[in-house]
Amino acid sequence: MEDAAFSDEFCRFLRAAVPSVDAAELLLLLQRESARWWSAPEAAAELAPAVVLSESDVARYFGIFQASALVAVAPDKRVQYLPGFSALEAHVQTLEQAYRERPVTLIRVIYALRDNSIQSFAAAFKLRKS
Amino acid sequence: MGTLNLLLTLLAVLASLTCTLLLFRAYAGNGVRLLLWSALCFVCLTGNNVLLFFDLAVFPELDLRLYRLCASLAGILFLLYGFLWEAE
Repeated sequence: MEDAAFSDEFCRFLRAAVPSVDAAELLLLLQRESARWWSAPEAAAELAPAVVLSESDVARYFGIFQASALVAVAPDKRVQYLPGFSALEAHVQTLEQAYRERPVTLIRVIYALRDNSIQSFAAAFKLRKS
Repeated sequence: MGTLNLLLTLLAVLASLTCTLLLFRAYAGNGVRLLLWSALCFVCLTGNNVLLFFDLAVFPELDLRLYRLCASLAGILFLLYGFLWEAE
């Protein structure tokens, strides 16, 4: 996997839909079993003990996935992996590949993207992009 | 005095409008939500400065202070919400 895989588009996707490594694990779980409808407790139990997530954390990530058009939500708040458009599906495939082949790089990118809001704020006032 | 008011308030409008456009441009480029809330804040601050322009330079007999303060308050609330949202 080349560094080019972490394209601007993919990084934008990570910033919007994958706020943490735990969220990435959760999203990949939903993708692996894409036919299944998951409740927050079921997903938290499935990820344990490797990933310890509270039900409220899982529910919050479900909300982020829903806002990013990655999942469908049933009236009983169960979710199913169902990307709204093909570009999202491709991003999740890239995420899965990065997680499998270059997990350390992926983790570093996720946290680097999360922490750069203030930097982005400062950079917004540069008239020319450096 | 009237000319000075006109110049200063126009500069304030231009400055805040520039900030608004730069922040929206940056948000369109990288999707960082803090930039969206900041841009919305500057939309309100631009509105505040436009009102200030009309208040001081065009219709000095009118008192638009309440509307200006409301616009500023809305802007600060957008910014505050953005910082709280990002902190999560």
